[in-house]
Amino acid sequence: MASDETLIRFSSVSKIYGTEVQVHALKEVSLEFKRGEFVAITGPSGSGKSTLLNLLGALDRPTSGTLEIGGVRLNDLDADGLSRLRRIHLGFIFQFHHLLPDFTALENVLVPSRICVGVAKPPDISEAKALLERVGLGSKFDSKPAQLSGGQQQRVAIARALARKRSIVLADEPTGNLDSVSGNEVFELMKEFNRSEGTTFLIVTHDQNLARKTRRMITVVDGKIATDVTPEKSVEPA
Amino acid sequence: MIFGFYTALRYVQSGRNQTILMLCLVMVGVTAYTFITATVQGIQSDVIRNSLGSSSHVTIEPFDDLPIVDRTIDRGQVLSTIQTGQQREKKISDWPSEIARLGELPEITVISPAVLGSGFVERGTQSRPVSIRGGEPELMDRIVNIKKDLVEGVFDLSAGKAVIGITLAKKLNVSVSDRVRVISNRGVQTNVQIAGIVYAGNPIADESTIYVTLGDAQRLLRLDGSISAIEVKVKNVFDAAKVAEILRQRVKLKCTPWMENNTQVLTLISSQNIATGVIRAFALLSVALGIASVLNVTVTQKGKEIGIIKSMGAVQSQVLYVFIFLGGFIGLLGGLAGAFLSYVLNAALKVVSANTPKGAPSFATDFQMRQVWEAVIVAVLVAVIGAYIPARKASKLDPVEAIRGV
Ligand SMILES: Nc1ncnc2c1ncn2[C@@H]1O[C@H](COP(=O)(O)OP(=O)(O)OP(=O)(O)O)[C@@H](O)[C@H]1O
Ligand SMILES: [Mg+2]
Repeated sequence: MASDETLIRFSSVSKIYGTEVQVHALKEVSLEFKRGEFVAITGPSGSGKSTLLNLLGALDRPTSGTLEIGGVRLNDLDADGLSRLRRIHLGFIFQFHHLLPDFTALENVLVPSRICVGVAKPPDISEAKALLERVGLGSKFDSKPAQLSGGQQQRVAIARALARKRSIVLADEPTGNLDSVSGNEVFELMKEFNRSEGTTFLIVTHDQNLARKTRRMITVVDGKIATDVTPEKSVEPA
Repeated sequence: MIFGFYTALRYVQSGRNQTILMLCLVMVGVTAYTFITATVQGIQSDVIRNSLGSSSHVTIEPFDDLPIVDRTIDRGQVLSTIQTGQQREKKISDWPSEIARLGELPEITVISPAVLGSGFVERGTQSRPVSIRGGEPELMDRIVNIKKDLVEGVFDLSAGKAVIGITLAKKLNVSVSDRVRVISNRGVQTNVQIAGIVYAGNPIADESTIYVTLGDAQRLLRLDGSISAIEVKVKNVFDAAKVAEILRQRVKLKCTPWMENNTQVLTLISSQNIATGVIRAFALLSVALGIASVLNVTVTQKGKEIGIIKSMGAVQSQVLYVFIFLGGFIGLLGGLAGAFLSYVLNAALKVVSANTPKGAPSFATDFQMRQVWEAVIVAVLVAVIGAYIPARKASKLDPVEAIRGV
């Protein structure tokens, strides 16, 4: 599924938090991701997974090193420049769905579209409806997040992350707050989108069972990449 | 902008406690603002009506004529001092052509010749000092505005007829069609018949003026066809000074706007204006501060939401507009509610407050639709200003920290 096109390139990226008491959260990490990859990132708590994901998602800046997303060097961008880059390429799914509580499911999926389009173009409602139908929420367009179950909320978040055909979706423990059944469903949905749309998924997870279902598994230990393996026995037929 | 507008609209629609709190804040502030404006305006128009409604706005008289004296000064010694001539009655002889020279101005509503002097009115053993006011009845009434206050008889100022105030009538113990003797300070006396009695509610008209025809007054005051002043009324009393200035160019006479003789009214109005301005400014300031502090809490609470919106690619200005619009909507809704509330309050107080003896409500207020729009616009501006600092704070939030919830 993965093409040869490199979407994300990390070269000796380090992240140090704090000024007085410094935490070296990432140490000289170099990584590359190609379009269409489906990657699990695992590792012990505090090892730097979220830090890595935030940098991959252009949410945060590295202390040193260079990173490139879609051919754009992030080091040169200001806060709004990073926002515009995220707008084009990146979708996020968090452990807690983080849907906007005042908006319905449909409106939540429309938010990325509303952020992008101006006065001239109305948001893409048909795309949003199609996405919600694909995550199995065709009957819940007008439900507010509070009226949905945890699994349903997370599926709305997936639809939102995929809106406007973003090429990369970053998920930080997307199943961490769900029981294993709905966790599995959510995971399968992401795989499904990876297969059909070619969307790149980078998923931080503690769940080894789920991690094993991916085609590439990166283990972060103490701010470094401990292993970066592509299991022979992929669940997906090649 | 569109995103901000839409998101803010949603926040208002979902009507959370903080939104309601802010709406109440604006409403109360605007009520205070509009209420004080209407009340003070009411008081002021009352004051203006009472003190200027029945008098001239610009009075045109001859200059105080100065005696011609030898003004040579010998070795620094003052040989003469100059005093205005007090013996001679000031008069405008060729008044029809002076009035013609005054011409027309859009601000002027009436120009009226007037003969003004003093004397006594006597009836039997009773004698009261009075001002004698002569004029052409219709024109004079448009200056002194007493015809509407007639309580007895008619406003008939033909030769030999007079109109007096109710207090004066009581003191002289006269009623309509009785005759009284008028003696001027020029030593002329004549008998007039009371044609009407007025109750104007002010001591000048009610107690100490006798209104007669121009001819009778001229004879009483030995004016011999001349008049003592030309009186002018203007539409907006505050234009009087400007009008006086223009009229000065047209006639070689002294043109005095009411402000120069009626400094108390002017001081009263301007100090009221200052006080109202201060009260209004503080009302608005407290609204702005209230919005700022409530919205600040909102921004903190919505930190995660803001982080998510930013993670989806919203730039700083988009987040800023969310809260600016939120402030604007609250200003608009709260402003309308406040304007409505103050309208109701005004109407209620008008009904509840006791009436004066003349039937006018004792609660002076002047509530105008213009004030509603003004208040709403002001409310929107103030709310937006109040929203600015929290909005900026929101726009600067770091998405990682916001989502982590630090
Ligand atoms: N904003 C921050 N300020 C200071 N230290 C931080 C900050 N964010 C993370 N850290 C530290 O950096 C290290 C890596 O944190 P990170 O959140 O990336 O770990 P993680 O692998 O995601 O852990 P978990 O599995 O518990 O989510 C930790 O020691 C953490 O305490
Ligand atoms: Mg983490």
